[in-house]
Amino acid sequence: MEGKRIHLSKILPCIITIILAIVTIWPFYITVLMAFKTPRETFQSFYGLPKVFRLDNFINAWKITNFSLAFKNSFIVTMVSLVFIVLATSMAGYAIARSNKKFYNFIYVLFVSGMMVPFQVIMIPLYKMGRKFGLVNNRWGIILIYICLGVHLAVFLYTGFVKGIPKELEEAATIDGASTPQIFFKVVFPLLKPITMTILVLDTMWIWNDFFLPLLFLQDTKIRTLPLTQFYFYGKYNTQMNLAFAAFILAMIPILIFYFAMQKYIVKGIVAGAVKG
Amino acid sequence: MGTSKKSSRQRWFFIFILPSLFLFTISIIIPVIQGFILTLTNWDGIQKSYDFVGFKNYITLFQDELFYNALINTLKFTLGVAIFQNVFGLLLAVLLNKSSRVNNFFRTIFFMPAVLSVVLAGFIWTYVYSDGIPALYDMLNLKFTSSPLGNPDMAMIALIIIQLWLCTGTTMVIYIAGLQSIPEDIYESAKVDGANHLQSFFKITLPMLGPAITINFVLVVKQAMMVFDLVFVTTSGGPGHCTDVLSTYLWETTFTNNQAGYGSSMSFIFLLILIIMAMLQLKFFRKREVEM
Repeated sequence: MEGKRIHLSKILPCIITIILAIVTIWPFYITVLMAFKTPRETFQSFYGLPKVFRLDNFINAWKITNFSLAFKNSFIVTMVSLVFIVLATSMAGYAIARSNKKFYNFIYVLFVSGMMVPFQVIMIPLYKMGRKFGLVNNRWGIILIYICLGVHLAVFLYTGFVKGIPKELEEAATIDGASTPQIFFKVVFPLLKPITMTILVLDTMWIWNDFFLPLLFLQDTKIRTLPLTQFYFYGKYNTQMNLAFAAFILAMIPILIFYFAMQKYIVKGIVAGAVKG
Repeated sequence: MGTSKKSSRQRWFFIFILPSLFLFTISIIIPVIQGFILTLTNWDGIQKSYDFVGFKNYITLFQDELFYNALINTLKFTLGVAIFQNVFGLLLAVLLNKSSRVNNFFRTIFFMPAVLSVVLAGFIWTYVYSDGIPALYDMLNLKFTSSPLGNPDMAMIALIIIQLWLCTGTTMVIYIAGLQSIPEDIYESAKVDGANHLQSFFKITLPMLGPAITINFVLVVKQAMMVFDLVFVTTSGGPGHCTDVLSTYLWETTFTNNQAGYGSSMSFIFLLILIIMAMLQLKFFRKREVEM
């Protein structure tokens, strides 16, 4: 009796975990299966494996979605936005953390309250402003908006992190005659690496996967990002599901590679962002 | 010398903060003010001219049945997601808390959907519901009528399930971080005192997880209240407004029905609801945390 009970309490968690894992994997499994099969094979047996693993669907999907262009667009938008977010907000975070003037505290509170504002509130004025200044259907326009919207969370995270760094190093550098920008870029910025990584992974996932902003601002096919390309592609080809699923896999691969490579940082980033946000 | 250095430092601080302040001003402060002014107009979103109508938009809003419908749907969605995402997230965290190669593998699996774009997830699940589940039913010789996304009674539940699939990994990760901050020796001494697994879960784990629970609820509620992409790409609010949530109804009002002024007033009520919910939750959970 006692032996059996220990047995059950060990086995039960395993069973629950495996069942939940299967449910989680299931949509991925269907995706992969569909992408390799022909419509005929899908019709004959939905869950059966294909006889041969053909790449035809992928090749066609690559061509039709113009995958390399969409990838390039997403890549440029994400990378350029990240560089400017990190540059602008690390400096601001440093200034807020190190200055004891009330003005900076006020700005900090302002940034934090900005985090509450849902995108819908600023959507219409932002779109109106975008049209006025030619930022709609313009890659640099959407980049500017991403930089803007990325400011408050990043400033918030940087400020908190800088406050935790001892001032001694900076004081020593001051005595050596270094100016404030020198101190920041040579001494402080390298120390910010952990939180910079956090901001980079959080913002990469946000900008790379974002759908709402491109839907509003990027209608021109030449500059559409991956999620938007997928959206319009699916609208047209949702009768050819095998092709559509091959396109889904193509779109998933970059972010999954990013995930497997950066998992440690992503998990850390999620926790850091959550605890502070 | 000392003072001039100090003032030069202050000058640099000001220069450092300027870019962020500028970006924040043009993207949040000015749009919020402009947005509020728009709520007082009848602007259609296209034409250059519009009239001021005072608070008429707000009055219309409080009589708009579709707005209440969207609000109730949003709350239903949020309630379902908040409860189950936390239950499953905590369950997975407890199951996979100990760091081992097998557990890390499972954590990787459970978090995987969270990195996908919602657009992809929405399309994949649309197909899972329309073809994947029927095929499964077929194999088990059961009858399956139609996709739950097209069924007014099931559509909301179907959406909640997709959201759970997408986001439970994030909740799990935060709970694992919380679990790992609980010192191991508390469990040891509880064991010595004769507490079983369930007892130590309810008497130690749950109370010690207080902050993590607060964070997860606030985050999940905020995320669920603001849901847009998922509904937009799967049901676009259908069938028959059954899954219309605040953000999709807002989109419809603004861009499909060309009522930008009215849409703006809805967005401000939306903001107000979000603020009230966040404050209520913080009050509720902080109080409980202290009691425990």
